[in-house]
Amino acid sequence: MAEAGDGRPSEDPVKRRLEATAAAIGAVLAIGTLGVIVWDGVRDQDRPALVTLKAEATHAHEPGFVVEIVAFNSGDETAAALLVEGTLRQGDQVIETSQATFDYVPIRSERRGGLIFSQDPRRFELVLTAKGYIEP
Amino acid sequence: MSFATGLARAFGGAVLFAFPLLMTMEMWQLGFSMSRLRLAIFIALTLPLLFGLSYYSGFEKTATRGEDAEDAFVAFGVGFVASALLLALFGMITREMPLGEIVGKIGIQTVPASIGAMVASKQFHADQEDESGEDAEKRASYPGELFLMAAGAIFVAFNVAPTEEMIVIAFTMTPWHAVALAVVSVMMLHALVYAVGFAGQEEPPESAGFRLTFLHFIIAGYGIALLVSLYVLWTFERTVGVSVAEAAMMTVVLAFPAALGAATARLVI
Repeated sequence: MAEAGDGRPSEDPVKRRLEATAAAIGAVLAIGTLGVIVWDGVRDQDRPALVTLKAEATHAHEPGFVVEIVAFNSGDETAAALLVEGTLRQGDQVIETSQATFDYVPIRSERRGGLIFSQDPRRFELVLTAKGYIEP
Repeated sequence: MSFATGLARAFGGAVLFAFPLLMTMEMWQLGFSMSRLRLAIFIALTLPLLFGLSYYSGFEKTATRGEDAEDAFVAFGVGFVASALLLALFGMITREMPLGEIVGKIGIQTVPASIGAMVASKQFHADQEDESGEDAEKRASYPGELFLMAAGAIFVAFNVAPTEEMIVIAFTMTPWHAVALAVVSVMMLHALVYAVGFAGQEEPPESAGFRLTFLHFIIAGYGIALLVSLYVLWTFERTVGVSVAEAAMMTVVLAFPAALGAATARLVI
């Protein structure tokens, strides 16, 4: 920021306008940031983390099979250390169980992971359950 | 100095002051997990902080309070954009994330980044004019001293408070450790402010005795460090569900770096 000889800010009109524009942008960003955060906070209904799970594609590779899973948190609290268990079933019989732990699933967000099985999950029924989590 | 150069310096300052936190895992998590209310308050308080920094130093000599307000918003904008760019570069904010998460992550990083943008001039300015008498007088005023100490304390406390190690130290220490740390913090504050020959060193007023100066600057400074530490801990929800004794321990632990920040604020700002 230029200074005239006596240390006062320059009176150059172009510079003044640039500074004012930058300040206006800064003000918009500040108000926008606070607005979004407060709006987010207002939506909070104080429910705990509510996790839903979905299985997507299954991939076969040498040692076994990987099922891509997606965890979505529709609650009002971040879920930390979320333990997810996938069970392969045939009728009442449990064929195989695998687990995965998600470090964090933030509110209204999804996180992706994978469950690894030695049997082909496509031949059986895959049941996904979220077992538990902690508040960060 | 042209506007573009000033802006570039501000961006440099923002990145320099904010990059340790931009690369800290806990900060990304806090962006989405910390209380929205406390985050909003923290970010809102940055604006008067920037205003005060502009008044006492800032990246240009300001003649009116309107210019201070203008510079505060420019610094905020620079901090915001710098944080957003780096977070996007690191892949810490992506298109798939909800808006609240993105804004929260950028917002919390904007606090140190905007402070860095504001004080950038002092760091990068090779041709800094000699400080005018009026400026030096403003800074040496008692409220000015207290403000600068608070600003330094907030900045340093905020840099270490998000991490897990901070509370691990508090859990591991015994109360006797904490008392010793408090004493050492006060001694360190005294030594840094008076005994070591820093450029911004305060000259003890001729008329005041040692006890008065000690009270006014050192004890007040440590008090500020404690209050700032408690506030920062509260902001990061470290005090939730914690006993008073434990909260006091955490405050003393955080007040050690906060006191360091308070003592050295005038070198940087």
